Amino acid sequence: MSGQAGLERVQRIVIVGSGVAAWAAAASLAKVLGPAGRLRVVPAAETADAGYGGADSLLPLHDERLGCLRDAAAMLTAGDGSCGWGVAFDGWSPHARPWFLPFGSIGAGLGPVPFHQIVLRLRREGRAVRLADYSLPALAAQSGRFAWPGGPARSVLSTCRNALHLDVAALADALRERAGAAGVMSSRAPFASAERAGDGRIAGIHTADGTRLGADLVLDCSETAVLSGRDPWEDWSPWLACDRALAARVPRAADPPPYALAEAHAAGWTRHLPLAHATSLVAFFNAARGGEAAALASLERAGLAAEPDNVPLRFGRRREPWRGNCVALGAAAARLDPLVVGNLHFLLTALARLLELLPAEPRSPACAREYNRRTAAELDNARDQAIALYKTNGRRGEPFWDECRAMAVPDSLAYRLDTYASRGKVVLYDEEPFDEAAWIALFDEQGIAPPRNHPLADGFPIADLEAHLARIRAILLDELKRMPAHADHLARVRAAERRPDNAAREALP
Amino acid sequence: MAFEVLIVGGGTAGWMTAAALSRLLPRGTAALTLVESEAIGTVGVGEATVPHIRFFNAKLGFDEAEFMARTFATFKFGIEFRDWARIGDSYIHPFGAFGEDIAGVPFHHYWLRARGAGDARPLETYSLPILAARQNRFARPSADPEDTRSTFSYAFQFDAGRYAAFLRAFAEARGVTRREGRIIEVTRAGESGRVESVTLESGERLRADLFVDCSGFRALLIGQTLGEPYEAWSQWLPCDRALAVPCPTAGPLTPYTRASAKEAGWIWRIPLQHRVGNGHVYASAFASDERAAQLLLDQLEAPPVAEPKPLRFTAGMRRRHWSGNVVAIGLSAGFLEPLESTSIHLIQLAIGYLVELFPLHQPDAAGEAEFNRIMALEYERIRDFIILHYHATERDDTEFWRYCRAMTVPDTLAHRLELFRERGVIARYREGMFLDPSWHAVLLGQRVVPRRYDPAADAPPNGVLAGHLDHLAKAYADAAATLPPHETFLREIGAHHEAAAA
Repeated sequence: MSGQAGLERVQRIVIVGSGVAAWAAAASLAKVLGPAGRLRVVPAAETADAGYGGADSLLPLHDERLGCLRDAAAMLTAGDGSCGWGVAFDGWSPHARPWFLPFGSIGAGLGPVPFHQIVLRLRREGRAVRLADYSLPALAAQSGRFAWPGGPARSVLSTCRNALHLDVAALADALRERAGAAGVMSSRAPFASAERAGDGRIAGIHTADGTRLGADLVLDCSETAVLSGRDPWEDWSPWLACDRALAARVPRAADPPPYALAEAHAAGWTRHLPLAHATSLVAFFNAARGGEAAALASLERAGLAAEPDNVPLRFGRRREPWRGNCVALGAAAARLDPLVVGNLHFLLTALARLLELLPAEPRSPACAREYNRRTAAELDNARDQAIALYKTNGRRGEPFWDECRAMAVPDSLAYRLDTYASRGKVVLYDEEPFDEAAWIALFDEQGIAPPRNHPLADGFPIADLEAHLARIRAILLDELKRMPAHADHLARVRAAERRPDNAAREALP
Repeated sequence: MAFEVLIVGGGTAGWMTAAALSRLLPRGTAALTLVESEAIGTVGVGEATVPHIRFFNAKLGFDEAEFMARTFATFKFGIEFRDWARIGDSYIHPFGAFGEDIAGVPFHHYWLRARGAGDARPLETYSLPILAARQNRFARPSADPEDTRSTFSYAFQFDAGRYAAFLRAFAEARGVTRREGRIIEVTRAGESGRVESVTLESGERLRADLFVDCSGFRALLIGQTLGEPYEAWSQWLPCDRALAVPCPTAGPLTPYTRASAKEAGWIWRIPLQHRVGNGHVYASAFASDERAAQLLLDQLEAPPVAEPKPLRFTAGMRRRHWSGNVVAIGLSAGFLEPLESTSIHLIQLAIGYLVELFPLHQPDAAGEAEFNRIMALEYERIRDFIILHYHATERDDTEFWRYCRAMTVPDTLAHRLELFRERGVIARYREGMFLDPSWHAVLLGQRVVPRRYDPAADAPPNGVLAGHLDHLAKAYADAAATLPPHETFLREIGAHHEAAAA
């Protein structure tokens, strides 16, 4: 019954790359091809950057096709990481206080009235209400607690999402082991050249030892885009002005806080990403605006001991990551300013999309078109969110930030900003990577204040609205009480992952 | 002074809008008036719906049995399409998915694999609502996700005129003022061009801050007054006329709508409790009115109880449904033939977005822009879905079908078709009411068969997959047999119109 006999099939997939993108692709593809298929990994002769500073964040996906990549506990352990409820933004907003962007919903609507419209109404009546006070992720972040989101529908935890903060090289190692256990073969000799057919498709990959690997589908998972590097690239530097980063890792004695910190400095920002035992620090800056000194100072304040790495940045995306029979993944496909989540996240969503659209035939133009359309939409939405943070900054008197405020933003974002400013309505496009709540938190805390609330929120007496908020608060605090400390959660997950009865699961792709 | 809203036109769109605004907007937000004239008829015929109508009714707080009894409604599991891809074909687009996903791979890939290996069972073997529909059975879905009887949704077929009357009673009880009279003049402000008032035959002027144009095909405000251009889609949807005629029911009460393809269009059959609504939608460029009438009357299950009522239309929509202080809802905004029962849904969507984007000040450019962006997407996605039925056919027995087969379709639909043919995947968009199972049903029903299925569907060994399919087929067949006859169920829950009369 099996097999789509008689037709040209994709049987030979060659993955070019040595980093997390290559091994994540190999581990998740291993089971799909089945015994007849051949999956080869060819290293690229390059030093893998493995994300900025060797650490990155992602929001776990539940797509079943991802296999081991949807197992948050296994990834957490493999990546020697910690969990996060969101991102604390320090020094960004006009009100100058730090604020929290939580993953998952905020509050709960009352009948037809969205929660943030209730808040706008209460504020109009003079009540000071902070959105974050009605977000379990925000409260749990503040109190250093963590539990996996999920559980029964309608429970508070089912409305939350979490991030994983991971050591990228450690994760890549674990994925390589999984891929190997699943029978994926890898070449020792690195990539040398691609053999192009007349129509531009890649017929085979040649390695440095002279071996030729025939290919039906090629994944360019290299850091330097060895196969797709000449394909058109959309440059986002007009909006995302950081062009270099200083990266370092500092040991941390205290328990890891369950959130990432994005701290603005005079010409950029610094990401504090807690791993299990260390904190990854990356200070993004604009070199022309003299950002290096500010970046360095920011790292020193955070306990920098050794000389940091100084790496160039190039934010943007491949216009068509899938061309012919070659799909660019990871850094070869896109580089985002990782303000909300890291590039690792977009590697994961790209893989899920590739698995859904995995071509059965080497020539699959419609799959490529759909893949490129969805990928572009998702990345542009994430780009908009990053640009929105710069655009709405409240730092006055610093040239970098003054220019960010003055810049013209993409039409898609300008429209979102106008629509929210007019009435607190969030515009959502195809393939939004984040929930509506993330946009609401961003707009609200960055000072976009609609002139009035939706009339629906006027339909309740103030006392009812206050009672509703008090009810939510009580439910959240009750849930919070039951939540373990983040460190205890991590210890429990690690212990469970290392139990022998987990060995069988480990062997599965 | 309260914000004044004037709804121009009764009928389904007008009274749905009035009822919903009166229920959803807090008291004091807006003063609602509806003006209609008994001298102007409504298009309302037997109307079939999609499951979303239940959310609308629930929001308004309607009791389902009472609503059904008052509107002579029947339950609906889907639409049967006869003779579309080939003469002799029959498939049902059900309200429910086929089978169950395995390992994250949609069911139809496994079905395609089995089919390629000689398993001849049709896709509908794995759909409870289709099996039940074919046996004229109905019950509401189970709330227990473990129960096979939880795998479907349902809608209604009802008398649109009675639904409007039902909504009118509700709206008037909630303070909507109804004004009787024909509008003879519309007055606009000199500088802004905004609509200020409408004048009735009696000479009375009705002013408002916001006008909702529910005047149907006349498009009194959005079209005649403001001149918002109408984008015609006739090159893809050449049907431009319809004849509607009711007849008594012969045979059991069917829990589904039927759409039978004809020489130059299609004939609907909408079962109501007391009669059957029939209609022939056809393209005047390909068929005469006489021929259309003959085809309609020839196939009636019982003699007609009225003269066929003619309708004329052009498929398409206005690019801007909201212009200044006029929001068009219903036929004034756009028209798509009722092939997939979407007319009421589009009204419902527009009302939902009007409430969500309710103008906070005048003019409200941001609300207008977002309303127009979203509504255009919703119309276009439904348009594509309807075009699919005509285009994906093997019929070449008439000039009409040869035209439809050969026409160039919108890019969005062309992409969807190619993607499904290539690899059985449904292109994904945020807007659009029809979800993947609907596209699966119609694409496969129209004989658009993917060249390749998902390679991951090759994972289960032959025996395992065959056993799984046997198990599913039996589960659906067994579950369907437990549902009572449609009419029995209707009477049991007190939804029969005789119950209301008693």
